[in-house]
Amino acid sequence: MNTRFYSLFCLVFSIVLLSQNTMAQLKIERKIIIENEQYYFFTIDEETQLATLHTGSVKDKIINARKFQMPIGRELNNEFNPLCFDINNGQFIGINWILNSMNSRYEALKIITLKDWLKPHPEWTNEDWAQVSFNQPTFAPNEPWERMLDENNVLENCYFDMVKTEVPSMAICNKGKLYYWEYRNDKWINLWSVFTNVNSFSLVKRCNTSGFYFIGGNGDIMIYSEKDSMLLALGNVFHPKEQLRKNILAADLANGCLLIIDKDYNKTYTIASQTIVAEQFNSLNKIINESALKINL
Amino acid sequence: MKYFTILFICVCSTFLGADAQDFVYNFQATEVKFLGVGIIAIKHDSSALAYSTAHWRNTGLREPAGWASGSTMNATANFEFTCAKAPDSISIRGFGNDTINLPMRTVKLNAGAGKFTCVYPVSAASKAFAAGVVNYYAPFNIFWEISFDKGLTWYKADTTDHKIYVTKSAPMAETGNFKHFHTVLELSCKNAKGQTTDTGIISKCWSEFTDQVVLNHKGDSLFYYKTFNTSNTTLPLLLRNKNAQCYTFAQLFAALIKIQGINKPNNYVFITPQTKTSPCGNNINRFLVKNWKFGIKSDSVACPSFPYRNTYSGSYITATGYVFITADATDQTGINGSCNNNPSSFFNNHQICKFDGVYYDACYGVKFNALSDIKTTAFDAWGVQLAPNSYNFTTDMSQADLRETITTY
Repeated sequence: MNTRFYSLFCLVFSIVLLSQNTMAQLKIERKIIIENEQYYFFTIDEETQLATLHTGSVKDKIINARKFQMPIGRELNNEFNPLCFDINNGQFIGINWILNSMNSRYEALKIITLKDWLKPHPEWTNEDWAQVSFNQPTFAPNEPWERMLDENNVLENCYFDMVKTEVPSMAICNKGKLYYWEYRNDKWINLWSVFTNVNSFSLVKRCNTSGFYFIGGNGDIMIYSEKDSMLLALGNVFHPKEQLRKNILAADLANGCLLIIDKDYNKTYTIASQTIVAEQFNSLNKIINESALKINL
Repeated sequence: MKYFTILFICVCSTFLGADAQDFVYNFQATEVKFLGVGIIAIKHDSSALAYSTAHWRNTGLREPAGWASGSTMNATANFEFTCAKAPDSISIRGFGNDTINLPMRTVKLNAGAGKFTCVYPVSAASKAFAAGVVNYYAPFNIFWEISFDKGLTWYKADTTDHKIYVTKSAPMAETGNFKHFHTVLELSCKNAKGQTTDTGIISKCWSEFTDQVVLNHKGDSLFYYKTFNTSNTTLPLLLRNKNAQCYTFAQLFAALIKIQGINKPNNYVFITPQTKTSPCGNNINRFLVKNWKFGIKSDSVACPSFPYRNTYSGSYITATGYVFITADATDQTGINGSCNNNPSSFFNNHQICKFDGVYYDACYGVKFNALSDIKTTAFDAWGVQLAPNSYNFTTDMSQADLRETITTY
């Protein structure tokens, strides 16, 4: 009896340890996107630089997410720039920023149909995956990167992000100058550029109106003012009820936050990264209801 | 392991309260620890974790220690002492290299099972490491001596051997993939020993790369593309796997400079073909590093400016080489890279260092005074992708130039 109890205890203890280990390893890149009641987010392997897609129903526990290796990734060197991506009608659109002597930064803007990559390829090595990633179709040349280098080829606090709404949009900053581009009619158009002290940021489409805003790594929300030709920091963008929750969660948010882009209901939330890690035994819907902050923009 | 047992005969009737007689003592060090302000927390190459706090044990442990020049070493040590009748206390001192000595300390003997133990307490060395000079002690020996009469008479006891690195200034803080790795300290301090200036240190550290044989602190080869398809691109992965891409050798060279506390911003250069030229409808995006052999021109009509065409399917870069279906350009034994006479040579980009206007290519151990020198000296061809699963090449190097993107490692 005692032996059986001890064995059961060891088994449960091992499972708990394993679960905690799995949870601790979950470092989500930048944002979670919801489309057609499915969520999509990515993690990056800290050696191979390759991305893993995590996906599932918003009603299911995060811990039960299906995981798929993807031919995409980002570098681990230099300043920390999380994976740049969007999910649009089942397609990944983003920047393959794997550091490799065969990966072209000029050809790094990739478009991938997700369902094409749901079949595992156990016969492929990590090196094969990297090569496959470089050969993925390029939807446009990376002109925003090249033109930024034309102005200044010394990188310092260089960050970028991309989203796809009506058209692909890209923002890139280097040495305090932020450039905003849209890809229209097979051509990149630089709509504006501005000097700012923004560092890391994510580009987010506004829910209530057209245009975009920038959410900095520290949670600051900024918007480009055409009238003033400058980036303006916005004050309170949360509902009073949310503001109270924000105050409670301030410490957690300061340790890193993620975006949740709900394309089904045209809503955007921010949430503390560690909340997702800690709440993996809950569904994303439940997590949003209990712990996310809706951004009213 | 150096297990130094000294037998000595002494007359110690004073403290034994007996007639003069001969005694045989066995006195040996069991552990030495270094500490002190500014001691460098050296990291294992294999794990990036810090070494343990003990630096020497008689069980064989040998761990390196390092300080910035001008710092004063502190040390503590444990000893074992066997003797039928021992005094209550003894005095211990140590003599190190360059008259960096450990002062006399009188310590109590603690009785144990058949032996006595004592602890040489944490003590500052008699003088600091010479200021402003890189040093490398391999070994730094401490000759321990003991006295039974409070320092009037000294007897040789044990000797402990250590590896000690002294950097010119405090190393730059660890950030990202720059850590205070054992091999970084070893290569930097060994090569730059005696140097007092930044330019002297850079020059001497560079000499590690010029023979294309870069070894880690154990003497193991660090290979530039031991396998053609390696995807290791960070310094920690080079040191752990000993096989990596160009990024890592540039990072290693920059790290040898940073570990000396030398701050040289804009030292890391990413080079890739400029995208201004679009032969036959696409941008030049590849280059071939020497040596490649060029045969027939399959596309002399379709794309006369890039007439050589290679085709492939899937993952055409294997561990042992390139697997093309058809090949007008074939890889030959090339320019030596670190520990490899035929490294990978088909690239989109390459990484080098830049110090004081000079480009240092640590992978191949060569320097360039101008960016434009690289293509003429090291390249055989430019490449362009005109269709999926194929590349076209030209040996006319005037068709493109390199673009540099500069960051700070």
